[in-house]
Amino acid sequence: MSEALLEVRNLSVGYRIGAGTVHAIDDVSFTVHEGETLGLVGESGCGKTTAGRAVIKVMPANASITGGEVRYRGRDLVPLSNEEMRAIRWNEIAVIPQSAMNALNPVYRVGRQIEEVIVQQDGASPAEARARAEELFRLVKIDPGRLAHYPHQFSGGMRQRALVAMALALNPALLIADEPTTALDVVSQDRVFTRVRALQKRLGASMLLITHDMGLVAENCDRVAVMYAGRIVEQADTRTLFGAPVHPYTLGLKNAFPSTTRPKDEALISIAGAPPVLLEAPRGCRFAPRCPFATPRCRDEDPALRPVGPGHHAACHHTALAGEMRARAVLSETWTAGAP
Amino acid sequence: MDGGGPVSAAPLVTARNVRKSFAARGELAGLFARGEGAMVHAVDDVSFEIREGEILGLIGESGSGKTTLGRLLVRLERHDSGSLHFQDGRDLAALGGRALREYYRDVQMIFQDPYGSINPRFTVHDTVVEPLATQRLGDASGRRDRVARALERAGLRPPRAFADKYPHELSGGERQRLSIARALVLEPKLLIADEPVSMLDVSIRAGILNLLKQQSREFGLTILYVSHDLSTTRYLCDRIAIMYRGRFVELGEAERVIDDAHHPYAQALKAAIPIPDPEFDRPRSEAGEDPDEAPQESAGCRYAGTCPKAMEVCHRRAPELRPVDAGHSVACFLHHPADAEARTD
Repeated sequence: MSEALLEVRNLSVGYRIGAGTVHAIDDVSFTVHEGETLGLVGESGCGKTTAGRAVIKVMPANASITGGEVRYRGRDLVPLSNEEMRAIRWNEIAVIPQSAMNALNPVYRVGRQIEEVIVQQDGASPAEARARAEELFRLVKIDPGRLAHYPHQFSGGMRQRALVAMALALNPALLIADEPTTALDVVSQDRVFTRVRALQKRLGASMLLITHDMGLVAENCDRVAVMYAGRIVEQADTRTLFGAPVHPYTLGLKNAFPSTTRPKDEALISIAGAPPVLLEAPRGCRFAPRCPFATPRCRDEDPALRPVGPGHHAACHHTALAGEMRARAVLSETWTAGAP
Repeated sequence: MDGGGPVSAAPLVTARNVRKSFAARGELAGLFARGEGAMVHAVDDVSFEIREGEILGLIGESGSGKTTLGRLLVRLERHDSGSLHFQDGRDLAALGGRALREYYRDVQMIFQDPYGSINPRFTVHDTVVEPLATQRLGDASGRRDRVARALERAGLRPPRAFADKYPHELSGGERQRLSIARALVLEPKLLIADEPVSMLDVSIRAGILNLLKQQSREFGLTILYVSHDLSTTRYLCDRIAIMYRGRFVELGEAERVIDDAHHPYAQALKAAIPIPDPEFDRPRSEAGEDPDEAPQESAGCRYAGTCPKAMEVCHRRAPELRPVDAGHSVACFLHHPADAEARTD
């Protein structure tokens, strides 16, 4: 395997709210290797966005890293000052955010916003920055004449492509893409993401792709980490994760995800219940209350993420029974009868 | 218009040449446009039927007019021209006052955002009983029974465990079930469901889709499911219509329309969806880039400016939605070459 570019180790992040602290992510570890794309998947509130933001330390005022390390090329970013982080953002690690409308300043021309990043981060002259911005626009297939326009004069797809151009402006080694296309229409989503992938390959950059879309993950990621309630519950290469998952939550997600290639009469199965509120650390496995395979041990004892195969980890006490769980998981009665 | 599905059933809704326009509303358009502003044809000459007992899917992207069409059917908007009739001959254009209130016993709607459409100060019982009070139906105990039945039907079981809860005590999935219970308490014939699962997590979504399916199969509820999502629509619906810029481009039996899409726009939509299977090699669309400028309104096909297969005639005349097969209609000259040759002037 190629070298580790980003190593997140035992990372925990808390949000202080009125009633206490919400432990949005708790003891999370993952690695992004040189040139690879790692998918961080899960449903709303699972902590995937928090994990991505903690990596570059762009977090809301009430959030803080309460433990762990974020090693980028071997150097821990957690203790770095804002000033030191500024040298890393854009140049080394760049973010493609979810909503282009909020990420672009409406009162400045788009070109100015991109050129500013290039001048500030790279010390380029305004003429160099302009030339670079034009080249970037050509790469994302926008007419460079559009640099003179304001964000509202762009279509949604163009705005998102402009943000892609901006993220790539300084040839970062790591891209963090957090639901980079969900705000767009179906056809634009595919066009924009295809463009992102082509540029990523051209730059040789790595990507942390944060999404709820299992289709996007299946098609684009080398490896996948599945998050549930602030924890990583399973991690594997993409083929293994889709072909032979072992964690009951991953099994449930697979049943629930619709696809145009599924037989129409094959029932989608939901997972009863809802994720826990993370105000206090739950006892036992966090998925146990919704898990049809849970035993008393699961409700008492928190399972650690353990190896179950080459490069394959899962946090479940019953991984030895994975084959049986997989067979039972495709039956809808498993999820209706078994759930408490 | 024909399509698959239950053939014998009489249409519950019949729409003929329905049109609805709005004044163009760009971010700055309102400031500069004076007097006669540009009009956007949200729904442009659409004809179709909703058959009794079927689930009809309406697929489109933002600006396709799919939401407007749903809102026309519940009279949140009024159509400009054409006709919209309910099964028993009621003309939607003529409904007002008491007749409109009675119409809502037959036709109800649920929305994308269960947070936005539910009063946070109302308990579950208050929320579901409200339509009965508005319609002046039943006495207190009769209403309680009907509320309990609706909660049960929507999967909020046992009803008494939910009746006194407030919306903030419910999960996202339960909240959408609450809005479904409120829609079902009047035992309507038709439910318009506008993106009812797009804000819900995947693990919850399947439960709501299955609930809607069950309402149709067990209670004969007719549903118009409005969505941008091909996968859930194909799963849930008997027939599907695909809308593009105010027009139907394809209509027919669900699997046929998705698996054997004929219209170049329908093909591009389908080709754009990532498949959750790493072994599957998705064929990519040959369609060109999406245009950066909004296409001009023209007399031709709305998709001609983007279509990789557009012919000269496509820019001049709009193709009609006509059958390509039993139970499958397409509005495209590629599939109706005879129409392309016909002279209109």
